[in-house]
Amino acid sequence: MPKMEKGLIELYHEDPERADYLVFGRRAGPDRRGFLRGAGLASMGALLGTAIPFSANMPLGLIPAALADSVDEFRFEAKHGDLIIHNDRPVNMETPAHLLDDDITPAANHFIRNNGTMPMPMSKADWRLKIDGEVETELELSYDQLMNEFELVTLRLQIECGGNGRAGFNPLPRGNPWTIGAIGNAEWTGVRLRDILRRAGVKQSAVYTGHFSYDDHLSGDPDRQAISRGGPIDKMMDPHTIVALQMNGGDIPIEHGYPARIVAPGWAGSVSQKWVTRIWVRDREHDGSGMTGLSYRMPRYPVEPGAEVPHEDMMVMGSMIVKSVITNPVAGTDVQAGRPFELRGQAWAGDDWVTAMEVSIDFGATWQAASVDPAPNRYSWQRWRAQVTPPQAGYYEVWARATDNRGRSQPMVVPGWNPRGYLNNACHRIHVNAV
Amino acid sequence: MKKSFLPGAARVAPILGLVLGLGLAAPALAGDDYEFAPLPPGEGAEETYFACIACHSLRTVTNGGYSRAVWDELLDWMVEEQGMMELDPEEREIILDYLATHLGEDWSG
Repeated sequence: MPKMEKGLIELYHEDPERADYLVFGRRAGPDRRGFLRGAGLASMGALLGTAIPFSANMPLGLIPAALADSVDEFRFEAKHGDLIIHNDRPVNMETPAHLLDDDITPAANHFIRNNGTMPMPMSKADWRLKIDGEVETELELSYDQLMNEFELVTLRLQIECGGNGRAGFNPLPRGNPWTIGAIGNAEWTGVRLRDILRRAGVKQSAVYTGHFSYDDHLSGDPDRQAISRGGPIDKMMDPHTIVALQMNGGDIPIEHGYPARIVAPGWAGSVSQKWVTRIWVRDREHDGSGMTGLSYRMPRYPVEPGAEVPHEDMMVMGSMIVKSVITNPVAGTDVQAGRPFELRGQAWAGDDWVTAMEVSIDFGATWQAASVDPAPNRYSWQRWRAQVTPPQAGYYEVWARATDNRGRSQPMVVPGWNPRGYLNNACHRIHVNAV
Repeated sequence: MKKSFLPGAARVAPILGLVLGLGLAAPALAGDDYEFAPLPPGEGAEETYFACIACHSLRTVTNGGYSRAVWDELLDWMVEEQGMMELDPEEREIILDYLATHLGEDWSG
């Protein structure tokens, strides 16, 4: 087996047939299934520790589950090496706070939250977006049509996982234990969803969308959606909700939804369907995978930590809430006692925006105002900065607190527990050593 | 607009998981010597390993420790809503015992 310079998963994503050949010497049969011959079969078998009885049936480009399973072996070369891997099947990667320092999040630093299998990329030529349901005219649009027949907009838009901060809840709700970095603010280019919906002609009966994509459910069952969420028609008609065709000026990387995805900024990231192929306009709240039960829902009333909440008392989450992150300095950095150093970071507030930012280095006893830049466009996160001076040598915690345009601030402690661990917007804090 | 070759993954993945476990467990690939890593050793680890790995990595399991009630609900949810094959009751009990005991609320990864 040749030495792999790229991670197995990435190699397979780039070109599964070639990856099969490189890694295992495996070539496609005429029916597009793989067949293993000679050295290829032997090397795959040797790696697995046994023969593969059904090798003739094994789909081409499929990473053997046994190899794909070890997260220790998992690397994603397109991503910054410091990203935190929560899972590799499905792929879930979080950005450490200091890598959120860019005003425009590079693709390499953007978190990944997948619910299903990372799909093999569908070509732009094959891809279509279908609009159906409560519309006058069903549409089926190609990538080129979207690019050429509609006005394109380019916006910096925050996408945050609804469960960002989940790790702070006690008892820990199930799901990825995100800390603070399931947030990104890339520059997305695409078509306003409302322009597409208007071309289709939205009926009076339209109240909600349901989104579908070409990735597969983890079980492999083709009749199941890995995730199929949506949003109320008002949110979908917001001029900042787009069908994105580009990320940071280039093709959207496969892990972020190639060739096209929805970006519905300010709401749980799952509304921003990756690999989108269909938008079903509905006359009621969508009931696809991830819309019902406890998923992406909050209790209608405050509950005790660990409480069992009846499903009928849960309601679908709307906008995310005010939050901020300290991106500089890196936690644990040495700073000079008696000398000012720059604290900075990003702040955002779902559908709203941030109007004030404060920092504290004395465990919240006193607070100092930080500057907050206006957003370059609505729904972008905002840069904040402050100069702080540790009065003497020792251990300090830096706390940061954002306030939104409606006067709502981040709590110092973890806010209301809920069954699936959403909307933890407690203040981010880091430590520094003054020397 | 599904890719035609992907549904086959469901059928193939469990087979590979099985042959790996019964074979020599590919020590070069595991990050740990324990054959059911990253699961912590304990009675029922083997049953748990094979029940889970058909669909998702074991990291999904070891990412958090939960109470028996949460694990119980999670097993139901995977069967009822996520296409997991129903476990036979005896096996389900072994797995639930294992999860509640070894990956309970005090589990810290």
